[in-house]
Amino acid sequence: MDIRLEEEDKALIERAAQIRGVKAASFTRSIVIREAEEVIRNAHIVKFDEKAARDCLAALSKPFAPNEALRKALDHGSESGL
Amino acid sequence: MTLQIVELDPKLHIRQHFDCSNINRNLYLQKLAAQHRRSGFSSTYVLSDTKKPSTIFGYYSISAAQIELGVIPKQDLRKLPKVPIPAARVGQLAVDLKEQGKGYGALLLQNAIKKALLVREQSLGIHMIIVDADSQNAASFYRKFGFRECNSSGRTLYLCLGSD
Repeated sequence: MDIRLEEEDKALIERAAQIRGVKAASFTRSIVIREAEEVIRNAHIVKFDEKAARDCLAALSKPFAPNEALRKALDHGSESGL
Repeated sequence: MTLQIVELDPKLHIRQHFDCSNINRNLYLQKLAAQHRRSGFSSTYVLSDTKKPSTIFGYYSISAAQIELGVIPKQDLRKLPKVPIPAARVGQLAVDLKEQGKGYGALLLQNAIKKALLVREQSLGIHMIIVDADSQNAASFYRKFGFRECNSSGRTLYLCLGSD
């Protein structure tokens, strides 16, 4: 991975790295990896708030119960072989 | 006309002509869908006419996801086989402008749900479907089919597949 940076961005990163007391390269590496991990985590994990979590928990222990619109869509799809 | 929903084939499907008016959905299909397939992140399925299979009417992408019900006390969760709870996520679903108003969105969604139900029946423990809605219109579309908001962001909705 070859990253090109503007001079002013470089200066900014070097200043921040100095404050942390680390080299600019290792500062950049640690920040980018942390951000990448966050993106991947967010792509996979969905957080529920309390109301949704309780509703969901109740629905999970019952059989699948599509509403009328969904049941029709599923039937219609089956008629088309989809 | 006979419709089909098949996995995206970059050699067959003409992705550049697809336009659903949402730039992110267009770009996803054109630039990311095939890459995500190769990396195993998600699969993309395409709706088309069997007589002209290269023209994409609509598509959806589906991937694995996990649910965190972190706010619920542990003892209430004990009946569940696993925490976080495994789910299927429909991250993208779009219909080309020329093909809208024909019920193709519903056709794609119900196909995604059938795929998830099939996985559940094969006992791989998919308990729900998550969808991402980036507009009020998209959220209303999913709510019509029984999806509910996961949290106050309103951008992520869920549908429980229940248990047997």
